[in-house]
Amino acid sequence: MVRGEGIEAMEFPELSERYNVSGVPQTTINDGHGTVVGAVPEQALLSEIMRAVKK
Amino acid sequence: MPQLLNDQITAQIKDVFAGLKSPVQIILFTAKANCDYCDDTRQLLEEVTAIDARLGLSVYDLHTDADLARHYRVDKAPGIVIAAREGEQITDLGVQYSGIPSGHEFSTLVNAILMVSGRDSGLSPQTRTYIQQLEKPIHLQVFVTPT
Repeated sequence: MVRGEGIEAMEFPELSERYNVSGVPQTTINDGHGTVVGAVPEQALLSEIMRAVKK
Repeated sequence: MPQLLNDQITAQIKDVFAGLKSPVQIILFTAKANCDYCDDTRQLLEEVTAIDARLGLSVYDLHTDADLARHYRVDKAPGIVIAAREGEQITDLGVQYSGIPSGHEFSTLVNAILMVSGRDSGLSPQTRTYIQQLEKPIHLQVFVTPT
């Protein structure tokens, strides 16, 4: 149900551009429904996921 | 091509892999065209999986093995799936990496292998409860750089 994909940003510049990746790590949730910049605690990521899936 | 991992690094990884619990199958999708890092990624994964007998590697082509790529939901090359294996049975736990896992990201690969081998995400009970009641899939794409 949950898929986590690490992406080497320089190798896939079109995708990085699409999601406006300016710093790493940056996490895009469900094709841009949510975004988390930086390495955040699990709870913060979970909150953003919950927000993103309600959209 | 010369070895990507020198003897010292190989010995260090061997020590880390002493902590492996269950078998892990790495599934790599490559492409013949427009893939600058496919050859290096393949060699890197061959060297890593040769270090411990509990690790296996399967290599497929993103285009000629399109059905399998769809099955694992891989759409990039190099595309790496770090999956659980019991005997012949491979279970996709949703752990993937797209691109060459070099530099800082090499430790990401090693840690992903250890996590899948332990069959434990390490997530909190609260997060697990939330995930169990999900009705729609979640795709997290974590953009990283090797430096």
